[in-house]
Amino acid sequence: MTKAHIRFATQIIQRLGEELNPTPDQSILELVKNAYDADAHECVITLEHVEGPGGSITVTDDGDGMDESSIVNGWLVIGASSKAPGQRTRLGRVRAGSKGLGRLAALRMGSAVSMETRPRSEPNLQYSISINWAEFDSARTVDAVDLPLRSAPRPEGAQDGTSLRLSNLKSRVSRGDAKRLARSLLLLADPFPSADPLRFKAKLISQEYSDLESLVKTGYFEDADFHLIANVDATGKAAAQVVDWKGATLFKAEHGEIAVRRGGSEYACPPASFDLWAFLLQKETFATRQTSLTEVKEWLSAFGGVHLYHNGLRVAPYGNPGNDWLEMNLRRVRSPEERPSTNNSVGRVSISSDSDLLIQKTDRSGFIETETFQEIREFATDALEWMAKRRMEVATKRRAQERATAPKQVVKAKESVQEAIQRAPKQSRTAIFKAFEAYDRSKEKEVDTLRKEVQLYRTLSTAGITAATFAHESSGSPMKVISVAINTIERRAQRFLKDQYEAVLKMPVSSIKRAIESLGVLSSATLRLVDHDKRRVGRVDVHDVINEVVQTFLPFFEGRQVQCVVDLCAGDPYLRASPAAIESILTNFINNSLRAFEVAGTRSRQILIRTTIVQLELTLACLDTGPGITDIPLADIWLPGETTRENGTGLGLAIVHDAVQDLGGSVGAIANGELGGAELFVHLPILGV
Amino acid sequence: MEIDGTNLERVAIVDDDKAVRDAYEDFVSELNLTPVSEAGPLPSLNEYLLEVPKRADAAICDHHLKVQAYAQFNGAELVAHWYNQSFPALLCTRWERVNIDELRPYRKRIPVLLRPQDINPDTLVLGIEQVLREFDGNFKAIRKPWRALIRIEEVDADVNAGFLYFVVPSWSLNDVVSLKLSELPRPVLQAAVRGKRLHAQVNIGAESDVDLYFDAWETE
Repeated sequence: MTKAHIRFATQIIQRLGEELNPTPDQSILELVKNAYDADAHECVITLEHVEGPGGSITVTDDGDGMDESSIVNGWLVIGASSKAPGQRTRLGRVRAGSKGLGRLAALRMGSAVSMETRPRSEPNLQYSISINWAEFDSARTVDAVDLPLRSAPRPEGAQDGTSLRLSNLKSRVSRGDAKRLARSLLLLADPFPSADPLRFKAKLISQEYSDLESLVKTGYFEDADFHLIANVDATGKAAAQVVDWKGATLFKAEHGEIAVRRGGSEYACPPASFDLWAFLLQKETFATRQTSLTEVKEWLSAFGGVHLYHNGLRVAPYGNPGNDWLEMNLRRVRSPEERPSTNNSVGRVSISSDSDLLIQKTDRSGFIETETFQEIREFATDALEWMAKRRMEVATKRRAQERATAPKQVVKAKESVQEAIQRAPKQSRTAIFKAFEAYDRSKEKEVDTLRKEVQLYRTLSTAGITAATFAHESSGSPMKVISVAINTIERRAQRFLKDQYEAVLKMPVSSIKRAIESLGVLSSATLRLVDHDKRRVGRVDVHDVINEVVQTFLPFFEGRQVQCVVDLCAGDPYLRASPAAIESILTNFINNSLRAFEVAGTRSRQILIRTTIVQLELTLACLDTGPGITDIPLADIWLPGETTRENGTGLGLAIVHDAVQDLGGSVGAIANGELGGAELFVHLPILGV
Repeated sequence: MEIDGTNLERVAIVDDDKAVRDAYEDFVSELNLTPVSEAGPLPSLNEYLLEVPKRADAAICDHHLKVQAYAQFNGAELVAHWYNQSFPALLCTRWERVNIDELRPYRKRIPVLLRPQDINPDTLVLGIEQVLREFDGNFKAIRKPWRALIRIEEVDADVNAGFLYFVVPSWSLNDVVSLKLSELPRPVLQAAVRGKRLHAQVNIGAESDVDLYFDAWETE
């Protein structure tokens, strides 16, 4: 029997190395993690002549070094760890380097590697080994290349540790790469407040690093307006608090309040903590502080985002520029005041776990999206959500307080005006006083009108919400029961009555079917008004909206014997608006006409909807055969609260007026237009036809 | 009765309204099939998914099952899960445009969406036939998925009800389609910015946006 073996071609080194670690900074970080695993306190990276290809990188650490066995059975073995899983280092660190794939990629950066190591276990010895990758190019299989490992007496005074030199680099390390590397190294071992002062430190000898180091050392954490401190314990229970920049606790919550979106269930993740320092980047906020807004912005742009630390070491890409793993920016779009973004906050999520619950992807692009990782993310987003809600609550209270104190401020201001009038020359004092009183009365009237208008809007909103709820309900069960039941009646009657069906039941059954359809339209029309699509601002084809509104109103027109004629100009005029805005204009015009017909008892009822275009201005007009505009000055019809109808709200045309103003257009009316009744029109600037 | 090679004897009727269930029973009986009226309250979704196929060969199902506490899940969810189990079911509901966002995430696995007024013995048989054909990979033109380009128009991020608005040029150049942000896979959510182009499996033969579905998103 012949024993055969699977062997690996040398090309596999290329596959495993170069293709797994795409950027130089990520590759070098892998070597730094090896230093961390060797219990180093410091790791120094030196870049030499890297502006072009051919440069070199040296990585030196003061760790425990390696003896012969560790080099042969560990460092040179790719794809397996020489240490038992879960085994911690001498200093109790959880190992960060994976199975050597990252290291291989780093070692492949140059054409040669030389490593010198002085093991802690052998204080008088040092080992060295060199790899010349060109030798692998000419060999068939990986194990065919001999790598001489040399041992020698250790020079006096030489400390334990490992030095690795990658020479004749295949590509340059750009300034951008160096900057990214400096940032990654600074953030690698938690530089945030309360981190271990004796922690591992990785240092890059370069200008980029010095600049960033001074920036990270400065730290503006104390200037944060809000500091969220949240954690989840070993049982999956969360707790959180928010403190202000003076350190005073603003809000506090236990698990139930944070995990409200998941019904209070525990987070299935290892213990984790989440700190977030959020800044209100406004001139006013910084006016009284020693730090300048520009400094904080610069600092945040270098280090902002929420970084993730696993057993004390940072895991990329979480918190990198453009990485928003907690979707903070997405949530902030709607309420900027109460929510932090990656641009105005900095934070860290720290997780401690020995187990394999969190596994990094082989290409080092973050954790595999396991349930554990998703639970950690959910814990952090829930904490953010909780903070946003509490801040929103405060903002609402503040606004209420402002409203309550406003009248007092008005009284105070009035008193000071009156005092000033007393100090005016005697002859003009009475005239000024009277003028002020007149002004005050008209102002009061205006405030009163606005208050009523707001109340009316609220009442109508409530009416709208109620109508939508009823529409939902009626479109559901009751209508469905009628629809299905009438179908059953029809089928059974046809079966039993046979030829008699047509004479006996066909007509009433058809009537019920038509009535159901009309009822359906009523609820559809109401629900269509609350469709979220309608409030989206974008390109709106005016004619499409007109046709849709008319279609919606068809059953109403039929029910009231109204003939609706649509006379649209050629082309498809469009503008930037929300469909709801255009719809509200036409709907209110039509409602106006329908009410006018009813009140006046008009017999021949016609509505004409017409569009015309002159240059880039569209005129949308609604004419009717009603009684026309009577008992009210033409200009007043657009004012809120002005109505000539009993139970009228006087808001319809005011809404049209506001909507048109928002669109940069104007409104107009003719008391008795072409058809004899009212003619209402709007002019709207359009973008094209 | 045999439809498309499958023997059909019992049809489960899932609706929270007894009057509706009774009416559907009539249609089912007319086809000489045995109606299985499902009186509530129904057990959990996971239990129910497995229970019904033991006592029926197909189902007609309403969408709004939670309104009267008849079930803790909605009909779209149920029918979609049954689709995965190759158990044929028709969704029969009165829907309005505002409900589309609710149905869309499940639409791929709801081959037939009927309105109550359209259900009768003929549509029942035709509907089940269509579902069974889809199980065999035979899609109607309006249901067949194609790899389609999607251009994002707007991300309206509201915490409670955010929407993604986009255009599927191969379906319609002028119509903007919306999807609830909460229903999107996380990578899509993270990649979603105005102007970005993505790909997904879309039934671009759909005649109305109500019938459109989106699946297998590609963000790279």
